[in-house]
Amino acid sequence: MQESYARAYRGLVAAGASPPDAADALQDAVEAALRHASSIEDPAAWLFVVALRRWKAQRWRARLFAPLEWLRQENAIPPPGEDGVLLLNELRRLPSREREVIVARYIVGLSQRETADALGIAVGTVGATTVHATRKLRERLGGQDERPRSDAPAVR
Amino acid sequence: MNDLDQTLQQFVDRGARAIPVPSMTGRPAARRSPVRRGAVVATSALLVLLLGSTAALGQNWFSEVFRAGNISAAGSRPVSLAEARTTGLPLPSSRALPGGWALHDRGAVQLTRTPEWTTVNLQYDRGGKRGMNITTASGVGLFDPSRVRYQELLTVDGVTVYVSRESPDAFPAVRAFFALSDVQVEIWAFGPALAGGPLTSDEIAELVRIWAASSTRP
Repeated sequence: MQESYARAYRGLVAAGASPPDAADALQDAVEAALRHASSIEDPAAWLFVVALRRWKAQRWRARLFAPLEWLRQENAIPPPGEDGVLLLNELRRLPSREREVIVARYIVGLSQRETADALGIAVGTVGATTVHATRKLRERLGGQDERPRSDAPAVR
Repeated sequence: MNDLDQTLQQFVDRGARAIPVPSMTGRPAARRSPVRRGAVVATSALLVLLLGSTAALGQNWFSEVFRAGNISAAGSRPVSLAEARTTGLPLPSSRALPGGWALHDRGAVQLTRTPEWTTVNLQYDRGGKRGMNITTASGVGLFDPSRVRYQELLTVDGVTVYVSRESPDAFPAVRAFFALSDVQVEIWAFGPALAGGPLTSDEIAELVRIWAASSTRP
């Protein structure tokens, strides 16, 4: 459970949630998971999806707590290391849809279909967004996309 | 079949591992009934505000705010950009900055001088309800590099820039600090998210380069 929690938490932060909001949303998701434990196949994916929805639904609270956000972070959770800052910076430069898809696929490890269900979008959109955002990130990171451009992503 | 890019996967894995994870039991887990939730949230917000303010005061976390207050209390006066540049502080030579930013017509350049320190405050705006305030100071610290809080760390031509973003929803703001020798600069900007937010990291970097270039001019 701890490993699933960590993966879901990092996914939420990478998706744009502040560390305290991510922890709050996950806390609720963990409590819900304990009530549905027998029906959960992939705890990390389940926690991420439930917490992501909760975070999005309650994002308005960020306005209320905005002036204190830095104080909550200071007290509770240390800042990310250099590689983490680099990753978050690159993800923040992506549009939110692309960022969420990349996080779901690369950090949380969801399949295209699971990502589609989690984000409420079509499977084809997930595939196209994954390819587009991946190419964008690879170009920024100085790498070359080695796959043929016509190589359509397969659904897994 | 896995359609994910393995090189990007490695980059993401490294970055994700560098994000610290709080303990699962580190935050209060008490459930509230739906009926009482609103009251509890409001009460909690008030308590957090009171306790947080007290703690912050005790640990001097508001030092930047108080310094800014002291600067204001010293009294400033509106000047022209040309007069502000005679202070020797790094300042742009033009009233306009890249991205459509322009100084307000009146009172946009505020100069404060004491025997110990000098600050120049520039107030810009641009279309789409965006505003930007840039303070350049010598002799007084706008921030402490060892304690400044940031979410992004940029390096622009050797200059370290600490960037924090606030309220990442409809109307976000961004704050960036950097130092050029003994001069410190603070950028604060806001703008609606629908219009792209206040400043991107690239735009911040461009501003840093302008200030850095003006600090090395003969």
